[in-house]
Amino acid sequence: MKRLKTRTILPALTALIGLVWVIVGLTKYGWWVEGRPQSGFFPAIIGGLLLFVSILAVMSEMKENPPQFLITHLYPILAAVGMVLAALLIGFFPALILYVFGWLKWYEKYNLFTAGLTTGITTALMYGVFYVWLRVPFPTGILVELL
Amino acid sequence: METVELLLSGFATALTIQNFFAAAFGAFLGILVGAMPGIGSLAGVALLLPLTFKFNPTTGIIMLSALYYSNMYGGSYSSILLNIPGDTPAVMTGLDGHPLASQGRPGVALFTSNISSFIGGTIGILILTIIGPGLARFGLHFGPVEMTALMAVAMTSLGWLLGDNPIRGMVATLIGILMATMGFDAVTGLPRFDFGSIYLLSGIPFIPLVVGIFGFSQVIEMMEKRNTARGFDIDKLTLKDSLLTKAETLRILPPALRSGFLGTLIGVLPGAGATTGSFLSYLMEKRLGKDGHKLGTGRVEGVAAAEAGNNAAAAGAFAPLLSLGIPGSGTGAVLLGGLLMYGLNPGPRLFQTQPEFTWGIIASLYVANIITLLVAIMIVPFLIKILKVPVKMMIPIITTICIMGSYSANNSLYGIIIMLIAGIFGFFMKKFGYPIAPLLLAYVLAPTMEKNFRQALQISDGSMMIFLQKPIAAVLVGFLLLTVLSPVIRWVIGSIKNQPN
Repeated sequence: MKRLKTRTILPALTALIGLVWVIVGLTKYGWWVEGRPQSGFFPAIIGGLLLFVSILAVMSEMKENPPQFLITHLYPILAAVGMVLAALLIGFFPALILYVFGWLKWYEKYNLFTAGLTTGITTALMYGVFYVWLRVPFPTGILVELL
Repeated sequence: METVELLLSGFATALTIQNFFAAAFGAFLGILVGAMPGIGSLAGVALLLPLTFKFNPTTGIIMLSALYYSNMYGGSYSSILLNIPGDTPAVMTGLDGHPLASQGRPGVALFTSNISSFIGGTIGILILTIIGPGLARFGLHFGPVEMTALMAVAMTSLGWLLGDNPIRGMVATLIGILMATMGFDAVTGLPRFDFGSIYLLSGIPFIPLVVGIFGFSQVIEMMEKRNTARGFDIDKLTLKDSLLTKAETLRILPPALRSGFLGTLIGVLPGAGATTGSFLSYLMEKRLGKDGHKLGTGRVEGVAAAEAGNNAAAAGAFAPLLSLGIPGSGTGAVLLGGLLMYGLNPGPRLFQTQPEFTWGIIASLYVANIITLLVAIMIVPFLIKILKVPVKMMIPIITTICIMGSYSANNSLYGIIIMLIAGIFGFFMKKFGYPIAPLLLAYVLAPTMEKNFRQALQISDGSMMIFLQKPIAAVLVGFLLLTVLSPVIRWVIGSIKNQPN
């Protein structure tokens, strides 16, 4: 049962996406009118094919062993989300410093010098490339705006 | 003669100060990123794509091409020194490169790799110069019917050949096509599959998608190997110890030349990229080489064959990319996406409508090849330090690049959200054994395919027989059927062979 749950998740999801594309494509965007294929024509065909192939995939995946997932796989996702939320509050570059330094110092247990130096170089590079060179207008953060 | 003139005008474009430095910068970054273990050329090019925003289309694409090309050089370094291939094409390089390094001659292995990459790349670019315009002229005969068949062949050849399970390749390809149908319909201009979101009106943005699916998914995957210790047999590398003797130079020339030609031929074929180029070149050397049976024990010939093969294939892949608009690999698809992002439509007409741009790119490859060789030789003494950067230190740095890069695509948090979703989806695809490159290839090619498919059916009044009535399309459909049915054919042959009688 555990196998069924893990390996078949992805093809089951793609089968569902295929089904949605067929239904929405045919009902909302149309198939063929006055000798012309409509906007739903191509997506509905591909959706139908995806539905069919995904069902085949679900059946073949049942025979395979499930891959191993680690709790640590979640950490970069949570850290990235945390950095983005912090960026909205205090601005992109302070959030970047907090994230890189925090990750290296407290999670990877690097010493203060290595974590600080890596953070400094990374921040300088990002600032130089994205802010100075590419002139990307990063949000300054709600707190800075309030001040 | 006309080709020479056009190439010279291309050099005039490539050698402007801005374009020259863009190529040099791209070559340097590409080699650096390619050398770093765990990133790989695909993720490397994807991560560096936002850096090209600053330039005009020609300069941006020249930098991107140099990046893509030089990545092939860098990928072999970790394979030789650590036995950890930086990328799949470098797997074959490690077979002889690492034993050679273990025998106390890492510099020779690296130098052989660099010189052979240069020879293979030069052959590939020369052949591209010769056949590119011809291929484009042939492509001018392609109407909507032929283009549809060609796009289908390009998508399936990569999707079906990658990985052990063709069904997974099909799922990846079809998902890529569906993703491309979101946003405005290219034929009618009407919005579709936006699900009421104003953000989805213009579809899924290319850069956040690429950065997420290749870059951020790599970061999540890196968490498994973040504590892997890297053992070095050597402490120091010098240029002096890396130089080849005259006898060694003579030994590497025949395999490098042979593999250069074979690699280019493979690179030109849709779907068969640098990995196939290095693999088949190595096999050819094993069969045809004077001391082929000794390959795998630390022979310079093995390193030369694999490296010349993969670089030649990378250069050769530019021929179908520029002339027909079909990329031969996932990295090529990123490059094609970059071209489309700049409003350029690679295909048969590109050579006619944008000769300055097209020949500028081809000429810039010659320039990038020379610059990359120089950078590659000069970087040798610093390689140990570059390769010693621990994976766990790279995790927050790459994450930051992913966030900044995807935000800068349209100065919106929407880019970051797409990047995160694409990263998580890409990670699951990798874990479950689904190839990602076909998804991107399909995403990039799908709009052209849909437009031509609908036009073809409109011409034939809905009859699919039109794909068999046109000779070029019929040949392509035959090839397509062969590719799609090849797993079934293999299975039938296997079953017959396994029968007791």
